[in-house]
Amino acid sequence: MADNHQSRFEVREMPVPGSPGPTVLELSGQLDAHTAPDFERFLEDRVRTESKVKLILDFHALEYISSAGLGVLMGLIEEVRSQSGDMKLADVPEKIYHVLDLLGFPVVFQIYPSVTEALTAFSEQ
Amino acid sequence: MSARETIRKIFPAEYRILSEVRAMLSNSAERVGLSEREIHDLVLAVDEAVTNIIEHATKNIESTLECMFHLDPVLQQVIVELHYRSDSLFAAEPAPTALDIEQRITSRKRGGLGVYLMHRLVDSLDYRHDKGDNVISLEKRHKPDQ
Repeated sequence: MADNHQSRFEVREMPVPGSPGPTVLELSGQLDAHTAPDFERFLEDRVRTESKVKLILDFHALEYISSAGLGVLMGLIEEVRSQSGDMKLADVPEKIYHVLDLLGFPVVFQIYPSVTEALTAFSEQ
Repeated sequence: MSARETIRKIFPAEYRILSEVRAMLSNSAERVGLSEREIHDLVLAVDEAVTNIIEHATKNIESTLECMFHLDPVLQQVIVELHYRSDSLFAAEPAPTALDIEQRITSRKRGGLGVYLMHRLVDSLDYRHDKGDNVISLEKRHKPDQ
């Protein structure tokens, strides 16, 4: 099978002015059962090894997400909150928000129109 | 496109096929007039079904999955059939009316989201099995107000 059909997903830590502060992670590409394990390892590393528990996930460049990707978020939200942190979602494309909404994610996760607003929310907590 | 058509491909039952399955289905569904939202919903439901098959039915077994996309431009309908060999039955329980995401997080139960989405995102979901031959069928029709 041609390699160019395989799911492409990337997560990058973005610089935030005024560090230390929340960690902004930009998600891009397609997050499915093939790419979710790498994402999970990346997030666990940030939380457990680097103790980064105030996380903002920037969804603006994410093209697709399935339940495998959402399960990664479910697996870590309680852990970060137990350490007085949080995982906020920002700039979620409409078709992805539709999936989050179907599953009831807005009840558990705070979702903001932009990374700036999510950063402000952290500073006000 | 004016005539009915079936697109068929056999894949290895591995997660790396998901992107290609989604791309093939998306291109096909566009041709029968499904809206962008309908295409996204169908593609996600099929992704969840394929993932479920690979995760549970063909785990630890070198296996293949045959995808068939039946396209009807007159009815503006896509029927997806997923054929695979397994003795494990697909847990196609009736769609729950609601998902308690908080309870699932607390009880660390990440599974089951995929089956829930499958039921919610397509117009009909069917499962048949006979002596190790399994078929999951998902149907999506265009609705003019979407």
